[in-house]
Amino acid sequence: MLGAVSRHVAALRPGASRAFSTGPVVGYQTRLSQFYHNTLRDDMMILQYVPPQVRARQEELEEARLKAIKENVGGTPPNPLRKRQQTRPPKPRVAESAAHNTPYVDKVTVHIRCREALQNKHNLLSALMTLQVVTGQRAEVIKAKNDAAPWKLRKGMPIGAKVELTGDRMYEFLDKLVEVVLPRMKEYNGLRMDSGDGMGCFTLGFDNSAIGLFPEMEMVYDMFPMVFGFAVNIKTTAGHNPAGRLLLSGLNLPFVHARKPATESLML
Amino acid sequence: MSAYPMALSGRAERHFAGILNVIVPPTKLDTSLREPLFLRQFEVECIEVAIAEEVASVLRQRWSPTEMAAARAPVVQTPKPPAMSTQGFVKCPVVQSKIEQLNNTTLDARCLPLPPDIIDSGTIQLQPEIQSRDVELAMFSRATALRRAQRVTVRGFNSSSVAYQTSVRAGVLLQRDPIVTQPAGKFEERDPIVTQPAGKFEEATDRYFDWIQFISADRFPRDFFFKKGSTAESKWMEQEDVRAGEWFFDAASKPVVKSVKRVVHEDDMIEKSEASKPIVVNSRETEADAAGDQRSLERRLDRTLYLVVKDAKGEWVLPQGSVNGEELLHQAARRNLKEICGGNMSVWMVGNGPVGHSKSAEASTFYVKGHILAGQPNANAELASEFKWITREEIEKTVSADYWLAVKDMLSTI
Repeated sequence: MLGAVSRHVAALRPGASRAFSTGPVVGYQTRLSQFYHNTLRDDMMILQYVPPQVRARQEELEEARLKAIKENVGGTPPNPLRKRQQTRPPKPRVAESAAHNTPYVDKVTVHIRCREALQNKHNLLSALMTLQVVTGQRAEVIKAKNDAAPWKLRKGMPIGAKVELTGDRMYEFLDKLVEVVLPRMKEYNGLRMDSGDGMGCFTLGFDNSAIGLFPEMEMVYDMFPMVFGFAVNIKTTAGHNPAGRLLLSGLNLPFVHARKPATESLML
Repeated sequence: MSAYPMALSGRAERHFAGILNVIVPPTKLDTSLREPLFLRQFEVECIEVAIAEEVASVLRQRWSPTEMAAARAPVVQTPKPPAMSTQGFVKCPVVQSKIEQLNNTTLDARCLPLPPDIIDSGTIQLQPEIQSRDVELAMFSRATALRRAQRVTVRGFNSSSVAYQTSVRAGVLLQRDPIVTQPAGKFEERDPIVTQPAGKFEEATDRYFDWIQFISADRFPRDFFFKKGSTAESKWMEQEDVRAGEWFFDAASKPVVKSVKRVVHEDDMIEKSEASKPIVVNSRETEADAAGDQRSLERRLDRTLYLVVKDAKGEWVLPQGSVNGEELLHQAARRNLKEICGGNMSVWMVGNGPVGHSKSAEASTFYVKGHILAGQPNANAELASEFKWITREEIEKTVSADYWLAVKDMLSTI
């Protein structure tokens, strides 16, 4: 089988005849990864199955819709906003979900954007140490790619820290997040239903009150001169948002509908 | 958080340290989140019906009762969809074309009930009060359409969509998922294709790669986490000494850890609390394993267990029963499971479609997958004299050869 599953990352070096690697092992022995492989993947495949007749009919309808747009049937729509939407390029067709291409969580990136590093780059040490404590992996320094005069930023300045997690470490981090950190947060009910970039990536942002909720940070919280907020970017192999939400909800990440603010007409 | 099986409450502690390696229990996947391509079809169909009704009602309001009575009243079936969008909204260009259609052409009598004089004349003249705007409003009033759509049945799989000569039965593949993780090195791949069980070479390779990872890992910043000379530091170093010994191939080659000079602190005086006692890990083999109790859900914690029942003929089969009339497959499956096993089970069914089928002379049985979350079957004596929760290998030994061939591909090897 394929990518997500093999225990040892086998990269074919140029000139090599066999795929073999003595590099770091990307194991899959955590409970979340086994849950995904044993149970969740099957369930997702079943839930995303579309019978051939229905699929054929959808394609028929889609073609008819595109044809109607192309021929501009009916002229100007009454809602002026719709015209703008029609100029958007058509979305790439999502492949049918099958056993071999069920979405999985590919990579989780935790990063901190450290404004304080502009004044004194030693402030970045707190960020690096925080990430190392929380993820169990050495953090990398992010350097600025562009200049930004209003913030006195020059290209190449160290401005943030990040950790890219894959394999076991990724699942353990996700597990911690979902089981320990998110439940402890105040007034957090879940990811919004309109989150997701449409290509399978979901991002959660946290402010500096959240970092103290990690179990590793409880003991050493006082040792950090500065606490930072951080962002967690979950990259999945889903082709569009609903599949990604299905996957993440299966891993127990909660989702809520975005609430509309109360209107004045509400009788109190 | 999902409900954890009551039968397994002893194991239910979600101990994050990962020491017990408890598997996340199956969650009720939020089916409203599933790929709306499938739902869209349902929505489109509902809205098509609803829109046909809306338009009909708008037109109907302008007719007199006598005209209504005189009108041919065909069966309002789901109209054949025109070129409509799949996004659940009616796009305006299509609406405009539909209005033009209404004005210019004769309508198929199936779509809308019309007064007879209009149909006979071959043209449709909308009454002056009915502006295209009214129809637009009716069509754009999605809230109304959706409200009406609630009354339309969910699209599912039913016997009318299955071209079988024999009758259709609905069964349930009810499974209890693994509770604990697989022991390391047991399976190279997680695919249903079974490889040979891990031998000495695989285990040795795994240990070697784990050792490389251990050796090349970043140094633990002891001076950052622990105060020099504190009790916590010395305790940690003792534990680390023990842990490090597990990684080395040759215990004798393990370097000796230099002990830290202990400085007496106030915290030494505090007695050992509950939290500092070493954690005792439960055994992976339970009492049910020892007793071989196949009715228990606490047996074979690392494997998937499936529910099989002994039917009236005395054969072991997956729970199944008939599909009545216009019932959809998943509804029939749920009903049958409840009839056979009683209402004392909390079950989550995966979707509406089947995951496998078996064929006999009398009927084709389609199986819908489900997970048991809590409870136990309370077997109905008429329909099922006994029940068992068994693994795939045990099913092979229990059921008949023909039945095994039909159901084996649905069953997980883990």
